[in-house]
Amino acid sequence: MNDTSFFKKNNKQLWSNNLTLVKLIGMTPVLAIATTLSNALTLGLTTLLILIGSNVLISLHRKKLTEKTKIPFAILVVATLVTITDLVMQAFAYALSTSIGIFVPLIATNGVIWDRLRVIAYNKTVVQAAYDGLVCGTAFLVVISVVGILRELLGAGTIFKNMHLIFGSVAKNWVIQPFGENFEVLIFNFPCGAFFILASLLALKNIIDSYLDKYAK
Amino acid sequence: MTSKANLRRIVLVSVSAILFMLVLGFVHSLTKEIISSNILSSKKEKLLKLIPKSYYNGDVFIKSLSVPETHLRSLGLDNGSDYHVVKNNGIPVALIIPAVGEGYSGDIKILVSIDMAGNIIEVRVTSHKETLGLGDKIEITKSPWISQFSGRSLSNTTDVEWGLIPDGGTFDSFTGATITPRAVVRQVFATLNFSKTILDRGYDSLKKMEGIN
Repeated sequence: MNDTSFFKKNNKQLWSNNLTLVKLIGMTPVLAIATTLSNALTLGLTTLLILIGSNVLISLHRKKLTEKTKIPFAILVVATLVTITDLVMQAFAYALSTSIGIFVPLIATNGVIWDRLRVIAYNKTVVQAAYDGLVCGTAFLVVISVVGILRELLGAGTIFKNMHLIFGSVAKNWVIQPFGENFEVLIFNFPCGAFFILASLLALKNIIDSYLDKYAK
Repeated sequence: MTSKANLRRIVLVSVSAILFMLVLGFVHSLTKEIISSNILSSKKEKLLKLIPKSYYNGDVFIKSLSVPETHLRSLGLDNGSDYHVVKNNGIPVALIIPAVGEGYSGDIKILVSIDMAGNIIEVRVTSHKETLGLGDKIEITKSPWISQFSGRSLSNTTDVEWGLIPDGGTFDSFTGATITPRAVVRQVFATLNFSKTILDRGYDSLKKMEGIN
């Protein structure tokens, strides 16, 4: 397989092979923590960085790895990167790290990361692995952010709540309350409500796909 | 042949494990102090939410002390729990005492701030598992119910009055839950009783204790 065809095929991870929407991988953080856009962005971005990092590090050593050593080595790499991220967040973004809590260390168990390591990092070149990390991480970031926006809007009645935790005090008055002060639909603050939203997104994607199919014919 | 290949695997994994360990150790040593100061200042910030600004004007120190074993049971606390003395320019101005009550569906954790005369400043629920829409009226964001404790003390409210109105006490209940507010009232009363034993020891013994930043 030459280079351009790899990149072309890899772009499918954004839509038609989207890990979260098609393979339903990496749902835990989407269901559990994406209650606001700020949480979703933080978790999405850290996952993106860790995915690129572990893809690259493992791809660098792929020729030395054998069937028996590749899993222990991958665990070492992912665990190290996740722990570093966790420590750095606790040191320089304490409020953010407390609002996400256990889900930063839990990135180490994110299915998106392990799926990409299995499919890409062990067999592909460093550039390809980095590109794949970027594409799949972005796809995950987009899905978790959309779920985050919808859950925040329905569950808390706000848009851009707590964004100052990420963007500094400039973002303090970004909060919009489109439905007035006391709007909240409790169920969307819980994982079961997130299931409804994720299912609606899946349905929406399938509708769009079927329209695209028709249009193509 | 196989043993040589095995050896290579072992070396690869162990060398990389040691390398990663060193990297982690390095990052840990860089961030350790920042993290612990972050934890301290966020703890201080959380506690100071219970003390209105009018109580302090200068350097605020909070000294955390462990709750004596004899009081752990009545406050519902675990071994090693702390209570806090708030000092303004070295002078103690308030106590902050934690307590855990048994709610309808699990523990209700509260913090009570009490001034040096033994009057309650504020009561806040820090965590609970009560029914949403019914028992969660103990949260200040949901209902002003919890602010009725402010200003109460052992001298202006007698022992029998420390209960809900339906139980013969003086505190309002709220619709849809009895166990929840009853547990909160009982534990607020317990913190006042505990604060009395500290305040009776005298102002000077509190003044001597050093503060943390």
